[in-house]
Amino acid sequence: MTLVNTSVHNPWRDPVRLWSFFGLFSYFLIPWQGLEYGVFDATPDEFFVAYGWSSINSSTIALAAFIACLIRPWHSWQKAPIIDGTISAFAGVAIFFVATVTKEPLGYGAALQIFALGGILSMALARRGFIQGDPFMTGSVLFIIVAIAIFVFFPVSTVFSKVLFAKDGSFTPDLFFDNLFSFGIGRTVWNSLRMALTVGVATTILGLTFSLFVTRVTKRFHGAIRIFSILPIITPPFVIGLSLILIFGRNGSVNDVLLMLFGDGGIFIGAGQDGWFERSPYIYGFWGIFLAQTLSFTPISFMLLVGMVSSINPALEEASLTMRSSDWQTFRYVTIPLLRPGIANAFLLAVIASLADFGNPLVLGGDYDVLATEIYFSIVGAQLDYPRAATLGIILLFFSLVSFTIQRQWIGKKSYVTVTGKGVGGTFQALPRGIVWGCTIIVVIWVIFTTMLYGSILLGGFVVNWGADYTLTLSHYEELWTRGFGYGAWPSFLTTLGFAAVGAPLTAMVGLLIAYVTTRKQFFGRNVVDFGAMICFAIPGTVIGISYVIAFNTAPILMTGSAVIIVISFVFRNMPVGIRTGISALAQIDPSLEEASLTQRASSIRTIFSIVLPLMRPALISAMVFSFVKSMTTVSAIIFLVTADTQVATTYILGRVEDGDYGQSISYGSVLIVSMLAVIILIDKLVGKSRTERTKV
Amino acid sequence: MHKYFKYGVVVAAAAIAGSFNPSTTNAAGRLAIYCSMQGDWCQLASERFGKQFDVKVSMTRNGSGSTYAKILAEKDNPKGDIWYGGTLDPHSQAGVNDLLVSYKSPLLSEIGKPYQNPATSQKNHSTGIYVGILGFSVNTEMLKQAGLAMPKCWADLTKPEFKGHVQVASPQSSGTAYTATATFAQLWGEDKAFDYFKSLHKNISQYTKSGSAPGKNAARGEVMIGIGFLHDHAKEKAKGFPIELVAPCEGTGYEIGGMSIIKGARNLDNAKKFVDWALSKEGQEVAAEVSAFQVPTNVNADVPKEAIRLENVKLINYDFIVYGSEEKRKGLIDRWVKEVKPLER
Amino acid sequence: MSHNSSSAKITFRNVVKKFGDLSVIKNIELDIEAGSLTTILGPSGCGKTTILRLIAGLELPTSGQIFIGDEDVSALSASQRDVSMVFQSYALFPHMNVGENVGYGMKIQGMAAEERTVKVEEALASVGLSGLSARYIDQLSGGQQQRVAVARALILEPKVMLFDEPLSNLDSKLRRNMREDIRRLQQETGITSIYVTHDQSEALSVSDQVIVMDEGVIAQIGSPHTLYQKPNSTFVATFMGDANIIDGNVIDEGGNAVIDLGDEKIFLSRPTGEVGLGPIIAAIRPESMTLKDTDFTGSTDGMLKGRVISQAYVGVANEYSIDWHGQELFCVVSAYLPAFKPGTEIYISIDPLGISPIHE
Repeated sequence: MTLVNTSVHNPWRDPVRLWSFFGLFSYFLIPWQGLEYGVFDATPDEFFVAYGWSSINSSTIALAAFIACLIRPWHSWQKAPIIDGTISAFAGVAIFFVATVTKEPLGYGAALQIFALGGILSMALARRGFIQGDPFMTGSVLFIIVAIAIFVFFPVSTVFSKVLFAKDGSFTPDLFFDNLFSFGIGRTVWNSLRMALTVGVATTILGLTFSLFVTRVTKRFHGAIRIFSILPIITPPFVIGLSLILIFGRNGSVNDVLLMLFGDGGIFIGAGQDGWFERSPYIYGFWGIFLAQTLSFTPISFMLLVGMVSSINPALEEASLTMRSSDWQTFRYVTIPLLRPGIANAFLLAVIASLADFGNPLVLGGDYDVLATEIYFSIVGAQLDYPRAATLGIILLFFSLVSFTIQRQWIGKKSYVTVTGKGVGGTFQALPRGIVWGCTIIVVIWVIFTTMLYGSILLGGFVVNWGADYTLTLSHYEELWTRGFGYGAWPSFLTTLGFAAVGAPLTAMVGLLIAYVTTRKQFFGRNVVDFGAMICFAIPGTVIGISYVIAFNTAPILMTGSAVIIVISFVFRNMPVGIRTGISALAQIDPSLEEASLTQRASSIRTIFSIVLPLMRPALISAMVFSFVKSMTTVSAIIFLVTADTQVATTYILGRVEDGDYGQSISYGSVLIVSMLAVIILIDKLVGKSRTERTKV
Repeated sequence: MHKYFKYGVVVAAAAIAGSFNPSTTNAAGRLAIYCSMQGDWCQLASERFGKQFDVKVSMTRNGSGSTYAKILAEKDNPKGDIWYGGTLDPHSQAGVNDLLVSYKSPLLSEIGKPYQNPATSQKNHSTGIYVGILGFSVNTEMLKQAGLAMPKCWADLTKPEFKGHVQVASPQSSGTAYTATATFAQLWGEDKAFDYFKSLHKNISQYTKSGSAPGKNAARGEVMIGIGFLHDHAKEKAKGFPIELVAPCEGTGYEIGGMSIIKGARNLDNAKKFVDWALSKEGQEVAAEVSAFQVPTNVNADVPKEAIRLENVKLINYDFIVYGSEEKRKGLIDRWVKEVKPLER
Repeated sequence: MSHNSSSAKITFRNVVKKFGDLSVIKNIELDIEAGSLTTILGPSGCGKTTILRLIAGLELPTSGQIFIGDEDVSALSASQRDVSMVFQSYALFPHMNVGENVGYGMKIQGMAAEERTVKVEEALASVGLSGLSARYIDQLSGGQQQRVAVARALILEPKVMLFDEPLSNLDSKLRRNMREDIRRLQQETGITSIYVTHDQSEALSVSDQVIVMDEGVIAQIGSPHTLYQKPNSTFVATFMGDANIIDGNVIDEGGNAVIDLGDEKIFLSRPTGEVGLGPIIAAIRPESMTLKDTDFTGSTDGMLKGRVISQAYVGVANEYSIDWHGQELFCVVSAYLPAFKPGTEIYISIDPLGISPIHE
């Protein structure tokens, strides 16, 4: 019995020919050009014109390439792969070039056919031995490189090139330095850095604390703690800021209590005496931003670390304990170092997210200027100043790059494998008492705090006017949700759900794929891909949004106004969390497991689905949850991308906030929070638990 | 055979004709509005216009700064037809930067003289649709608690007893705050205006990012006095917050809500129809229905009772042409950043 | 399991593998017979595992060609090759039970579940693990895990089986059992097998052919016997068990070759023509030496005179360290012969069969 795949030997079932056939198929069936008003609203005439075969245009190049590769007179030649590769690569480049010159907007047909050309090219490269001769992996690498070039480097460069050009379009490199050394910029940079580092440390410690708590301290409250620790991430932006003001603001409940206790004539002060506490707006500024960002980003670090903590091999800790080291020493010298990639990645993400966050500083910043808000207002503020926005953006990117590099150095080349093909049993040993108590105290404080916060949010939706009239009412909910599916919050809610449902699996897939190829495969430009993927996360959403509008509003890639561009912006903006989580998880998995699968004749794609993904289930869940939630709560990046038909929940809420309708914003926010929670629990149940996750029994 | 050949030629000719003449019949009934006013106003106006003229309206709401940035970013292939509402200055900038179309509506005769062609370019790019008065609001409960007298003038705000009790947005980020800066400059001359700013600085609790935040904060007791546009504050007051609106005694400036047709609009005719409608009495009275308390510019339109009537306020003769220009703007903001912002409080 | 008629020979033609600038495999030519068990032996970093991975398709050669049977597989990926591998770490899938692990490859091929169950049970029986298919990997002992890994590789009846130091994690007794089992299974199935190890006794005991590698090149290929008896370099000689290396000069004494060491000489007991005259290195196996008392009465011709430095009793033998003209010789003598105390002057008699003359 021989199990070799015989289809390779049938010349007409050669993958190159199959791809060519697929390309031809889409050439005749699917419109090559983009349709101005979308597929469903286009007239038959518009449809006809959009077909590649309706005239001679850039699609003719694709047609020629497919016909050549289908007939393939060189099929049996030694150099066949070189010819296939040259034709497909050349055709791909030529299509972009011609479409740019003739201003053809490339549409779905073009996308499919370029995809087919990519298929031929990866087949050719794999046959020349690229990435261990693996066509799927080669294709993935190719896809990732092209996607990052088009959707990250291209749009970002359109904005950053403005740094060198004055408003009238003249080339003025001095502008960059003028802006760089402009008044007050140093303080802003220092503010941003100080905030980012503090938040980075705080969120990493908190994330680690929660991970240890749910996996190692007690299993009893596992579900509840999980929910509490990720609540902030499912809260739409502005809602956290608003509720923090409600609690800690000058007129907030915490001040009310403190005033009652320690204020003039307070309980502990005595009648008629001056208290040592009076109302002050301390929440505005460093501490307000710190609190809000720590709340917002701890979930990221928790999701990233919890998978790692639960996948640690207990034997390693046991080994340390048997070598007469104390539980503290074991924790310090074995457990923590094993978590290094996770800790480093969590810290990196928090730092970068803090640098790029503008929502929280906007609401709570007071006079505390940070780079992200300065960039935001350079674009939408009192004066539109691209060069300034771009200069500040470059500073921001510089710091992201620095933290990225430091992070890589710190992780180093050590091995963090704890999931090997050798079965290991055992359960975790108890953590040191100090750690257990520390974790418990922090978790309890967090739970009380978030309960307060979310209690007030939920309540806020049921009172007439937050801050003035606390009479209970259902009017906000009625206004939003009971006027039929075409009114109130429904259209934006359903659109958002749709985007997130499409975007989340896509984001998780692309993110984990990038994590996989950058950690497991050697190819030219690996680090560029890794960093390029971080860029969209590191740049404030506003800049991404505006750069997408500038880059994708004209041929060859015309996508503004469509739902596709919004989903794409979600994918590229939220993907880095998937990548970081994936990289950390993969660092724990012994590569020989994948090799074993390959030598069992499983293709690489099969290996990913049946070996890699099941083993990194926690990371998969995290990536899915995060991208789902982020897609539902992102606002900055899509302010410029949404249209009447693609209005989403967050822009709707933002509008309500701007109009001062806090009641409606908060009731909408509550509905979002509850529905996202439901989805997260659903994802958790669906994806299930992996056997490599260990929790203390 | 011959017959089939003839049909073939006809079909081919039709196809070729089609490929050279992209049909836009379907778009004739559309209008894309970029709206920079409060959401329900945008919504109601779009619905009403769409119904009345049988036009498929798609409305995208965004702040005026964002909308300007978006229109500029889209300039090679504009997606919007009309820019409806929002403070005039970004409209002015868009006009100067050649992003708008000139249009003189037949209804201009019904519009107050200063609002017919207010934009810097002076080419009928934009028309004023409402007027909003600058002023400040005082949280009466906090005032009573602190036992202070009601401030009536700009000068009152610099009194030492109001230390830490005043909020205004940062001119760097907010058009509202820029209007305030320009107003002071026109009231007292630039140098004196900055002297005023410096003494006001001592009393500021924080410079907010958003122009409407000080009013909201005053309403919710986060601060005693918030400087901003009074129609925003009127809305808060109507909701039941304890604030009193003050039009300062020295006189004050105001903003004009702009409306412009975007250059390259794909539905130019409908955009013009919309301008005519939005300038009409009927179009302007939509505002009151959604409790937007700006003053309409159409002389025949009813002024909502909650709005501050122009005749009760000492208005300066705000020069939108000079103070809407980019140089003036940059100059004033830079001076504020250098001279006022870094001062100790 | 039936004899596999489709087992294939493996051929390397000018194979080079570089990682970056580092050449790990330097221009290797290699022929491995169909149905044989070949061991690749060498110190760590010599490229032996790379050879295995090149055959498996986990690495592709930088240049040169690899054939399995008559097919050029140089550019085929691992999943396209008819090769199975047993990993050093076993690489058992932790999220699958024993049955799922063993049946994984068959499932990939699309075999129906019932048929698969039968096959899996058969394969498990052949490695002595009947009835354990529902267990998870972490519920098995190390030896059992090793057997699962072997069963998983065998079940696909590949043309080639690869073993990457499969026994390195087992204790010595288990190792001996396992290597005998592997040899038995290999002979039963007749699958061409390649076995990488750094343990020479393992290599000698199981293989038809041994390849000794050093720094990316093949030092010597041959039967275990040839390699032990006739190493072609001091590297091979010292790597294949212990050897004392002595420099000398071959002279002719009545047609027989003798190594001249100045005052002393060693008889090679073979025709001079077979060895050749001139300078030579003699690799002398420690167990081919016996020690004689100095009051020994027979001829001391062909013996070396030395002094015991140390003596160690290791059960089956006494191990001696002997000073011979300043050079230290290592010598293993049956424990049933009389022992010598350190400091004793002795004669060393050498069995000519234990001497390998090496021209370098």
